[in-house]
Amino acid sequence: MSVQLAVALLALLVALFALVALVAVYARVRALEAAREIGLSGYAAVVGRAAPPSVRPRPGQRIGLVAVLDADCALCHAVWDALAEVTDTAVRVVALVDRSDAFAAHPGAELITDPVARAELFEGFAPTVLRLDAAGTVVERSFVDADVDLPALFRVGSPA
Amino acid sequence: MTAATTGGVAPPAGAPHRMTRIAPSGARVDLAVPEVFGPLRWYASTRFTGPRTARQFFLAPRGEHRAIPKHVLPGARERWVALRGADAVVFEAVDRSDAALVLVGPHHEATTWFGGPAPADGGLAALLEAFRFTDAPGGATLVPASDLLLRQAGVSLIGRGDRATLVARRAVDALPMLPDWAGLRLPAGELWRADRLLDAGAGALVAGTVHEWRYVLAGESAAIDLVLHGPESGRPPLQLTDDQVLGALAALDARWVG
Repeated sequence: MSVQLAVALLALLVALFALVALVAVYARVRALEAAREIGLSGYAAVVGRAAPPSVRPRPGQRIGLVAVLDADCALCHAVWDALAEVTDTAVRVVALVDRSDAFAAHPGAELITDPVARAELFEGFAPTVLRLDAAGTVVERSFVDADVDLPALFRVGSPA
Repeated sequence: MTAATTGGVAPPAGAPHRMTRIAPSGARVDLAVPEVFGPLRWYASTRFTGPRTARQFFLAPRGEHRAIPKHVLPGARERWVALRGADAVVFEAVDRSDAALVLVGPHHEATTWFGGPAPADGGLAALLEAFRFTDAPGGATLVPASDLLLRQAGVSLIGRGDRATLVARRAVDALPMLPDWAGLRLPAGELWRADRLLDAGAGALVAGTVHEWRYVLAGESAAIDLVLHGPESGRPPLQLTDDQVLGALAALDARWVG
């Protein structure tokens, strides 16, 4: 083998490697683009993600209603009272609060003070109500203001 | 940050109402609005320009987007995407001739119009990724995710009420629009009055009254444009003399911080 042929073969090899690397990078970029979710720059959305285990519906329950509440907001107490009126045993009713002693006790509805779970579900506003499916995935989120019809918000449809 | 926010302590009778609003750029704007201009609802507007983007957003109190499928694009297709701390709602006209994207937060919303079909999923994702929307009771901020790609311009804070509409901007942004001659010295800055763009009929209705003029007050950090609503807007005229308006304008103030 002459020196010229060896150099030419080496150059061909390098070119082939560069081509393969280019194709691999292109494929990776396309895969990343295809997998990206629609979202604002910043934090990942809560809807569509699994809720923390402490608030998920228990086995046998088909829906979870989670209210993220703040002891210092007047509307949060109204939301808590309306939420406690949901008496369906197939629905787990939970309020994630900052201070449980500030809220009135209601049988059948749970007050949980779990800073980690609250931080995971808090979207910068209280009161917020989340609806979970049986598996504990957040399917709906509502920011509650004074105009919201609370009983309608907590109305749980019959199982399909 | 909760729903239970109050407007603060009521000012003593006759004193201007002092408040702090957040402009879309995130700047704090300290305002003093005399009672005679009435209670105001706060809106805002901002523009973004970049190599492949030119977009204007209108910010409003939450809930105004409900007018879009009802009145602006009747029967529009609606698509909701839940984001962290806000929802993105896309409205598209039935014939796809126009579409709007609304970022709905717990307190405010930001709307932009496409003037054509709504973007596909990829386009919408790219658009949303380019911005950072943060909502708070004092105002929502909408800023570019990266200053390298988008430039924010035309930031204005708009107060609207039955008696007046007020537009506040950064003084440097308003400078090209100010007259060359000196205005009347007031505690908060210099005051000019300018013609309003009214048709002949409306112009005749307001001739000789305080509604005939647009009032421009430019201070060190902010410039305010004020219009008093009267018969030209189908409202009763304000029973104010020129001196009374001047007195009220002397108490008007805006300070743009940041």
